[in-house]
Amino acid sequence: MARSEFLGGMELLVLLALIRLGDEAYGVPIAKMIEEISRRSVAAGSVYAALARLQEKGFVSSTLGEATAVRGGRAKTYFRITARGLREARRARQTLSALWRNVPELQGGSA
Amino acid sequence: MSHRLPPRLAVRMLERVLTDPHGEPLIGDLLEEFADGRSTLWFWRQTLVACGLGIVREVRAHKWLSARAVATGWALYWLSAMGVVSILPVLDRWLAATPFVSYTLLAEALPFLAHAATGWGVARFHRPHAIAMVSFFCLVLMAQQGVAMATAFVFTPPRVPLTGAGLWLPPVFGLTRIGCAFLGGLYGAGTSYSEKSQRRLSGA
Repeated sequence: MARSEFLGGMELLVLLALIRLGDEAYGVPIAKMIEEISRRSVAAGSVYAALARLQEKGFVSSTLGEATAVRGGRAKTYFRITARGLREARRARQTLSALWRNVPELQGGSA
Repeated sequence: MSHRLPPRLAVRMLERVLTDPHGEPLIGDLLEEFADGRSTLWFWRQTLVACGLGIVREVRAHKWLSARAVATGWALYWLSAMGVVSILPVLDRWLAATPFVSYTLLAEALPFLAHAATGWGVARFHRPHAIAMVSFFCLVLMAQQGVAMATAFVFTPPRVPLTGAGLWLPPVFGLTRIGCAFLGGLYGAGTSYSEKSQRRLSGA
């Protein structure tokens, strides 16, 4: 069996937000999307910590964007999922779906 | 659009702690959100989380450097403690003829100064990651003092039950000394970051 690192919970959330946001993915919209969908507050620091880990694993690449006055002259960093990251997201989905299946406690109802 | 300024101290903390490539965009994101109407409390909460995670990330990324920072800190701590012990009798002789300076006050102040010097030294020896290394050293110091205090309390319990100041003064003094080490470390990390922060906040 292949030995690979599992995606952490926050890493998976960030990766899925990246896929949904496409070219507009930088810290603020990523955090906002996770907050809206999970209905929980998210610290920007934990989003960037997850992004740093994903980048180390080669699942995410980044490009420098424009600097604006409202950001105190600091450039945005846009993130994009790599082919490897996409494969890993699919694998995570398969694993989670398989674990989800046939568990009576998880059938029906809403979160 | 809001023209409020973000808390300067929080921005300075972020600039000093987040030295990795993701630090700048993270600070920019927080400023953007703040300008978009987030509260000062929100900004501080985000700052503390970001700084905590930043320190943990730096310590994990530089394990040997962190170990060296603790070893350097202990060596400096020991040296400064020896310095304090050797300087006290000399001070005693000097101050015997001086009614203006209290020997007790100086004797109490010296360990705080020694801690500040230790923190300063740790920061100077680990400049690129100074704040993370000083924070790690202070955490280790805190754990060590906590264990030492608990051990002393368990194995050599006081003859008279401690109440009031006798109970809370030792931990408060211990924490204040560690705070001095941290402040010394902040000073040792240099002032270039705060100058950069001032320029950025004023839009220059």
